[in-house]
Amino acid sequence: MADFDERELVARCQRGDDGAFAQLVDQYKHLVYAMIYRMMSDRGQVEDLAQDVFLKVHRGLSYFRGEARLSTWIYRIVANVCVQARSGRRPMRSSSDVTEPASADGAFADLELRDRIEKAMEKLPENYRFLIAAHYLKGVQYEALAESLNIPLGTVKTHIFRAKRQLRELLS
Amino acid sequence: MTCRDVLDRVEAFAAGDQQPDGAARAHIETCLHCAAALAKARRIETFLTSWAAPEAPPRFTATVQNRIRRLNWQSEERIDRVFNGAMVAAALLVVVGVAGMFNVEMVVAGAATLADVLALAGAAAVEKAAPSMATYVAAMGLLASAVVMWWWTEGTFDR
Repeated sequence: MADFDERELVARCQRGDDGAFAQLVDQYKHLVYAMIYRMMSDRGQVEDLAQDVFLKVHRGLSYFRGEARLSTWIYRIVANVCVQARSGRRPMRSSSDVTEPASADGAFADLELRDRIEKAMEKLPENYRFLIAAHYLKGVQYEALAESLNIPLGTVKTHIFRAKRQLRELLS
Repeated sequence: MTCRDVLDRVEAFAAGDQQPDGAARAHIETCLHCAAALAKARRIETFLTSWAAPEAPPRFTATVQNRIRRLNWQSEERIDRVFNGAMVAAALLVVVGVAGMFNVEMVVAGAATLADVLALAGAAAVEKAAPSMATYVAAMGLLASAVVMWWWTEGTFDR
């Protein structure tokens, strides 16, 4: 969405236009849903948390001055909502769950690999997990991630690199 | 080229950000540990690039809007409750006031009692001040003349 359209949409939302807010939700819902789905191991929470994100967006829109991009601001809310949700409960899996199972040829089946990577994701620091979850989604740029986490662009790349290395080490 | 050198760059090789040079390639070909690490990094990279995430459910936007409406309604309901409480308190005050007005005898009796108390206090004060009355009159005369002089000088210098 062009910056001008986004500003216009935000302005309409700030004037209390329900239709504009519905448009905003439609614009970002799949991205927000996918990010949360990747960050949370408890899939039963995904929809509620995605809704919470948009409730916070709705509540915060009157204070949104457009200094950051709307997407950046929404990513930040997603990260915060997930961190809060995760801090409110104990980790669901122990580290022993991510060790490699004894398979005859050592090869990964797709489903097994997905399961193990998702379990390993649980062990990553919050920032790393958010970056890995968001970076591989279509349309999410390094710059927006850097802005949303308030860290330099180079640090985003370094963190993604380190996150992948940790994933590999957790799978070993 | 050591294992450490290769392992530090395995993720970059897997993502295609860097290409292994001759030495790295030679090391990977001969070191099972580094070859396995590169294979694993490639599998992770492939998984992440094709990692499917479901889309939000079809009724998602409507559900969000319903939750917002419900929250707004709850907040309005809270304001209504406070307003209603204030209205009940105000109505009680009015009822008490009206009851007082209709009970005139009680109001008159109360006023008479207050007047008696004030009269008694005034008489006692006059009785107490009588012996020094000349001093009080002189002090008041001095104060009045001072005020007149101040008023006269202010008027003179303002012109």
